[in-house]
This record gives sequence, C-alpha cells and structure tokens, in this order.
Amino acid sequence: MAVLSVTRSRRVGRGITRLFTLPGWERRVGLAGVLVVALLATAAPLLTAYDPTVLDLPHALQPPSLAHPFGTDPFGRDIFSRVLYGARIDLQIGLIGVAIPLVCGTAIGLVSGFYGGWIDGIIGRIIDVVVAFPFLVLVIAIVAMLGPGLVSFYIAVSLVSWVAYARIIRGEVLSARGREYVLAARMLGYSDARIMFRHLLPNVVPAVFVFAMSDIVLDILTGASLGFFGLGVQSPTPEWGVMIAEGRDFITTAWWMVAFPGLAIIVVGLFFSLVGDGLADVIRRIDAR
Amino acid sequence: MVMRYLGRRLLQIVPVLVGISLVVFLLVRLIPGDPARAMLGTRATPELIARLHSQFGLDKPIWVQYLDFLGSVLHGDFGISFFYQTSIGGLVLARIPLTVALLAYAALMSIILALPLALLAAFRRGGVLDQGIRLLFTGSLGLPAFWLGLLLALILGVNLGLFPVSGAGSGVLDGLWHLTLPAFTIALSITPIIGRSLRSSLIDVLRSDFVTTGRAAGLSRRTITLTYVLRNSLVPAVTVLSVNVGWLIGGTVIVEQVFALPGLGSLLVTSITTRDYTIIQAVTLILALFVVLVNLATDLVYVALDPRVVLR
Repeated sequence: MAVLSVTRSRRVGRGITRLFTLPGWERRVGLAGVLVVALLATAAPLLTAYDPTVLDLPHALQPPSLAHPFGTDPFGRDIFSRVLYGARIDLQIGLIGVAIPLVCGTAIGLVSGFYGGWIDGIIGRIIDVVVAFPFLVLVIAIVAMLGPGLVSFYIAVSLVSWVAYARIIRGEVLSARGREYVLAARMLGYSDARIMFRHLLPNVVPAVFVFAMSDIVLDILTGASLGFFGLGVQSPTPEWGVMIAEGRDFITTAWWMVAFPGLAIIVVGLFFSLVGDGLADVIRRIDAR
Repeated sequence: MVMRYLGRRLLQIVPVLVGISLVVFLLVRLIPGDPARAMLGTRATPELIARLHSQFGLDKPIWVQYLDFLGSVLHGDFGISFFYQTSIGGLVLARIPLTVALLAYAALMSIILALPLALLAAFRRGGVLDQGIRLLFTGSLGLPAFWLGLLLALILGVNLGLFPVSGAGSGVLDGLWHLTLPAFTIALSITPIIGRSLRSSLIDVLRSDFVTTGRAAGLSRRTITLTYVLRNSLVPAVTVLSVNVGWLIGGTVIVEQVFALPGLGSLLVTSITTRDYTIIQAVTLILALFVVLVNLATDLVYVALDPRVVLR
C-alpha cells in the first residue's frame, strides 16, 4: 500500500512537471500567465501603495499617470490597485464556480454512465431539461430569487453547470465501460466504487479538465456580468464587472475606469483558454499513440 | 415520412417541456422566507400578504400549486404584475419581437464574421494564417459583452456618431439601425465560440470525398469553394448556431441592458429590482421554450439543406 501511494504521488508530481515540459507553447504560455496573475493577486499589497477602497477625493478622476498607472475613479481610488485586488475576487469566482460543479458533475456522470438503467434515464432527463435553459438566464433567475451576492452566484452556477460535466463524464464512461481494464477489475471482484473511482475516473477525467478551463473563463464572464448588473459582488469591493459598471456613467470623460478592468478579464480569459487548448492537444496526442 | 418524424420529435420534447415548467415553478421556492413578503417588500401588510397567498395558492399542497401553475401557463396567464399593474402575459408578449429580431440579426452577423475566418483557417490548416485566426479566436473568448458594448457605443456611437446608442427606434428601418450596434456587440462576443467550432467542422468538410473528386476532376479551388464547400458548410453553420443559441440569448440579455433596449432580457433584469418574481419566471420559461423551438427547427432545416440527412 505504501509503495502504491509513493508511486502515485510521484506520478502526480511527474504529471505536473510534464504540464510545463511537454511540447506545445500554448499550454506553457497559458500556465505561466495564470501563475503570474495569481502571484500578482496574492502580492497585491506589495505592488501598490494604494488601498483599493479608501477614498481620496482630491485626486478624483485623474487620467493614467506614473503615480496612478490606470488612473483614478470619481472617489480618487487607484484603478490599478482595484484591478489587482479585483483579480483575487475574479480568480476566486472562476475557481470556486468551476470546482463545485466539476466535482458534483463528475460524480453524477460516473454513476450515471457506470450503472446505466433507470438511474441513467433519470439523470439523462434532468440534463436534457437543464441544458434547455440559456445558461445566463437561469443563473440570473436563480440569483434573483436567492438575492444578490457571491454565495447566491456560486449556488446558481453549481445548480446549472454540473450538467456539462456530468454529460462529458457520462459519455467517456460509456465508451470506457467495456475496455479490458474495467473488465479485468470486475473479474478481480473489485467493488463498484473502487472500479469507478480508482480505475475509470483517472481515465475519463482529463476530458473534463479541458472543458473546465473554458468553463473558468465563462464563469469569470458570468460573475463579472452579474457584478455589472449589481447582482454579484457589491460595490465598493473591487470586482472587474462592478468596476466597469461604476465607470459606465463616466465613459465619455474617464475611459480608463472602463477600459482596464475589461482588459484584465480578456487577459485572464486568454491565459485559461490557452491552457485549455494546450491540454486538449496533449490528450489528442496521447489518444493517437 | 416528414410528418412521422415531426410527430416523434414533438413527442420527445414533451418530457423536456414538463421539466422546464417544473424548474420554472420551483424557482420561486428558492426565495428565502415567505415569497409573498419578499415580493411586497416594504409594502407588506397582513391583508396584502394574505391576498397574495390566495392568489398564488400558497396555502394549497405543492402539487396542486404546480398543476394550477401549469394550467395558467398553458392559458398564457401569468397574472398581474405588481409593479407595472398590467397583465404579465401581455407585457412579456410585447417584448418578444425586439428580442427575436436582435437574436436573428446577431446570429446573421456572427455567421458573416465567423464563416470567412473559419474557412480561411480551415483552408490554410496548420499555416501561419490558421494559427493567427485561432489565436484571435482564443484571445477573444474572454471578451465581456457588456464591456465591448460600452466601448463600441463610445467609439462608433458617441465619438463617430455613426449609430444610436440607446433605445429601439421606431419603424422597421430605424429599428434595424438602432439594433445594429447591439447586434454587432453580440456577434463579436460570440464569434470566437462559433468560429472555433466552424473551423473544425469545415476541416471535415474539406476532407470529404466530393472535394477530392472535384480537385481530381480539375476544378479550380475557387469553384470548389464557392459552389461545393460553401453550400456544405451551411449545415455546420446552422448546427453551431443552434447549439449556441443559449449563448446568443445570454448575450442579448446583457446587451439589451447596455443599450437600453426594451426586450425580454432587460425586462428580466429590471424585474429583479422591482421584485416581480412572476415576470422572472415568465421570461425564463419563454426563453427556454425558445431554445427548444430553435433546436427543433434546426433538425427540420437539416432536411432542407442536406438531402443526405436520413430521417429516423
């Protein structure tokens, strides 16, 4: 058992280094970019002298300058530090908003694909119904009922986007169910849970990670849209969508209030999309082998 | 044959429709506490709460409430809006044309934007042009529609004065003119999604036997593209649009808000502040039905576009 866990942790370690060493620039650039953004978000207090929420009215609405690289808002708050601190919130939106549906959807998809029958029938019908709703509309409707805020957003996203993961995993399990390694595990008399989580899961989960990367982008966009509508994070907390909403009325006079938070969303989206594309490429190459 | 196919397809939709109605019905159950009190907010008095309870049947068992809900939905009766003081059915109905027009306009524009790029990338697969186009698509996946809308309104609307930046206008031409910038915003934000899927479907089209045959027969690349590839890329284009109709609707909800357009999306968002939960239910229901309808229509369009499609 000890030997097994050592080889496993070694394998995980090798997997993570491989993410950087395998050929393909997209994945490497994307990963490096994501790491840099995460680092900037963590080190925000070291990188800027300004508190993102403290008012400084004498310096209101200043255009970008050396002192305020991204300018200031009508309250004199430094946009650069608000964008930096905003990365904390928006990265959190992307990660939590994906982690919950990923885990739930994967588990449901595994069970559905593995057992088939009436369980699969019911889960399949539920998936059909949820995917019929436009994603943003259902998320907004649920948040409207629960009341604005991040917690409502996470609940809404979890209720809606697990189906995407369940669908992918279910499809993968259906095609893997008849493979030799699954049959071998069955003949060895392993329990269903062991076959599902120790044998099937590692083989079907990569596809989900590729989707998760684009889902992170989608979640950040959705979270920011809700912030923009006043349904997500509430002002004065720096969140990129909220910041764009705050800049809306000043767009003709202070374009920097709107421009920079939007660019931040685009850049983070690009990095995660690159990681996703690169991972898809790796999986394609492994499958082709 | 077509009628039998249509019949079977309609039967398949029934459980989905029931599911949709159930989800929409259960939505209001998510309201923490008493929905009547939440709906009334500061206007809540014991009499009003009691009136709402009986109006929504909140004192009956839940399955009776669902059947009542289903009954009134089937009659198109969503009750009276507290805020607007008119029938919700009429309110929602009046907003549908604008949203559908915006959706169609945006869908058309996104195909006009995405198809040439995807074709170029597919033709030059692996080349510099393909890499560039793919990077352009990847780079714009995270483009927030509300941000894009604000900037386009600023640059093309306010600074250059080319397009109106708010309102729906009056009459057909003026209306289209008012919808141009919003539709362009939606189209730009959905182009990367549509373009990426189109590129990979077009690569399959270019690998088809008819392209090889055409080349072998000595047809010019131009003839093959214009007469064969383009026609055959219509099916993937329709598929990609139909699969992504949910995203298009999401874009509409955002853009209607940015450009102050009186459609279903802005009704949905403003109803949150006015606590018109029934309107939220009605709009959610209508938009989900729209997705189901579009998917059904797509299946039928295949038959028209591609005679090889076999009905089963």
